[in-house]
Amino acid sequence: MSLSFDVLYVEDCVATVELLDMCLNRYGSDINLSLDVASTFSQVSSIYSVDKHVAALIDWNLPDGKGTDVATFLRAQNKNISIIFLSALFTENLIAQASIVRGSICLEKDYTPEFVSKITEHIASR
Amino acid sequence: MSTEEELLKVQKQLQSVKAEYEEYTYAVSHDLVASLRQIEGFSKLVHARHADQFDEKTKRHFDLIVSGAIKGREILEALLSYSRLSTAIKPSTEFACTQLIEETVTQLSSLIDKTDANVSYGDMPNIVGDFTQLQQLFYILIHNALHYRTPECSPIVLIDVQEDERQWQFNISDNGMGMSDHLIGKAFTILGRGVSDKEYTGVGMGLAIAKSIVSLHGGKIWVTSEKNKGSSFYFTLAKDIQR
Repeated sequence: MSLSFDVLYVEDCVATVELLDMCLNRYGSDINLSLDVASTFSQVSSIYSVDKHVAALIDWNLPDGKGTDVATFLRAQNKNISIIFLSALFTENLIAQASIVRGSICLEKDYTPEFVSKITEHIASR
Repeated sequence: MSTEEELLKVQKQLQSVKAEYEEYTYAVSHDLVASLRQIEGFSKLVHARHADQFDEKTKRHFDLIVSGAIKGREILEALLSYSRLSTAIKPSTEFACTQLIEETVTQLSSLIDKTDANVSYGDMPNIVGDFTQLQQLFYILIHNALHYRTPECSPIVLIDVQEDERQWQFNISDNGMGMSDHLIGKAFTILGRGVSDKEYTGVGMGLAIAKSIVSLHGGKIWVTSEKNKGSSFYFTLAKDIQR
């Protein structure tokens, strides 16, 4: 039986959203993630639902804020939500900033099966 | 304005330029890496879905798209690593060089096994510097010694050290493919490669990074080499490094 989770995905790049969705479908095995996409920080408040979303995939660089801003907002709503930061590139400094807002993990988007496994396994093990 | 005030002003300007440079480097690298990974990611998915409908020529073209994107990303990551050397310096510490070499050899163990190589070294001193950077230096030089081998024989890598009053002089020698005289001149340049990608993969940044690390540790690096006989890389590290 496959597991299914509702996840908030905050990402402004349409191509990236499509690519991640395709990767999840192709490499996601028996764990199904249903993504609700917010393309900006300001959209998050209208799309996020405490009762629905068990995890958030948050791109670090957003047009109207940083991933940490979104994380702080979500943590205020639900202290147990799994927060996965995504970026093409993480530095030590960014990882340190992520830990301050209690980001669960930071993953560089390389769209490999391993990258998808880390996302699905992390959400399934919460 | 007093000398102290002027110095303080210059230091603040330097900090500001450094922060601006780091921000610029991150932004450019991030955006380019993101684009290259998209090319790679979409190409792989299209290939996985539709490869059975491609003729051989189209399959080869798809492989070239993916390998081109991977190569571009590798070059970018190497350039980023190079650019960060002088901005991400950690305080110097004293540590056992033996420990550093042991850890490096462990990191390279699969390549050592694959090539049936022998890496040997004698007594090593305690040295002073940035452990991470110096480990990267040894990694690059030992990796090169293993990578640029001749097909005929297994790599033999010898690590040796001598000292004088002010510095340590290390030597990492191998029995690999060596270099002709005209290639030695560009060995330490950025993206300088003396061999084709087909024969030996790489981006040509390793020795440029090695040179920068040695320079940041108050030393010099040079090489003696003979084609098809092997190379000896020498570098010095200051005993009393002040940064």
